Amino acid sequence: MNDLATKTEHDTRALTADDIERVITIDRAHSGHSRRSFFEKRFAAAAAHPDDFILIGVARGGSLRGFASARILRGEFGRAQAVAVLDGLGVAVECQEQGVGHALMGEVLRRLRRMGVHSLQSQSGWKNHDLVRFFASSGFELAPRLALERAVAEPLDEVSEEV
Amino acid sequence: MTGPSQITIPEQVGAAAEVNYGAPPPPDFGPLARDRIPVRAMTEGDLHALIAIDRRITGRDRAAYFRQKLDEALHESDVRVSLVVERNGAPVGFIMARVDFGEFGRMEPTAVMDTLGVDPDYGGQGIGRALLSQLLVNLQTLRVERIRTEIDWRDRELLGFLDHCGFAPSPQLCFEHAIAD
Repeated sequence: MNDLATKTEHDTRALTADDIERVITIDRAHSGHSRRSFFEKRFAAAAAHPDDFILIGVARGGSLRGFASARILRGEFGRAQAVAVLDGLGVAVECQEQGVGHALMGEVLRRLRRMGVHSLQSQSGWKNHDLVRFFASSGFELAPRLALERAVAEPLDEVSEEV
Repeated sequence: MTGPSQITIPEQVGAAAEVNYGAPPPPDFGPLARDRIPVRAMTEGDLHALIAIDRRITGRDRAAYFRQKLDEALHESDVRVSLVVERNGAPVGFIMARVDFGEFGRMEPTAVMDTLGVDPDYGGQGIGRALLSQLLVNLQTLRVERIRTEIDWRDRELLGFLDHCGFAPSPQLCFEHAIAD
């Protein structure tokens, strides 16, 4: 895997509590809704357990241009190795196509490698073509896992075989 | 035309040769799984029992992983929706899920189910279904619209269970990036 950030001139840094409003704003521009509660808890958890999270950003001229958030899960597969889940990634709309995302991903991968993490996992809606393309160009591959869902209100079949 | 030697009389097996219309009909409904099997909220005191159940299922010690997951389920979910089933005073099944508040204090429309486990000694008794049934009721009360999970596609047992429980592939793609040493 190439270290993607070496192709760019962006400096990455760890995020602090002062960045949270900007992170929420960048994320809302992509998702269309605020994940304030998620990010407030994420920043608090990262402050309490810094070895379990990566929260980094790219800033220029004092303004945050993008961020990445990953959580490290140790022992999920019963080995000393750990896996990480990338659950937040955003680049300010005015800074797209400038290599900010690849700089962030390169730094996330570098930090995970140093921490002994052997796999980074994530999800994307299949219609989110920009994100799918970004994952593909960042070295991600389709995982042997299925995302499943159901409507909560749909009645549960209570008759078929018991589990 | 069929000759007499080719005529066979179906052999009667068992006593039920005729339908007994006088017998009471079998019920076409019954108590829901969650009504037959009491389900309670998960607490931090359940950690060791959950690790033990998982060890019996997977054959691996995932204590650190479960410590993180329990912490996430109990402290990082805005509402505690994780559940446990007990038998003889000890947990024998569990379901971990998260749901968050979104904008303006409204609940996010989708909950995430992280982990579901039933002690193999108690398999086939409807414990998994009872856990999921109660979780769905609780989420409906919270006005959550959908529940999502992610599984290894080769886990046929879990896949079959979730299929029977109404789960279907989501339009989400799962990605991974190997990180070389």
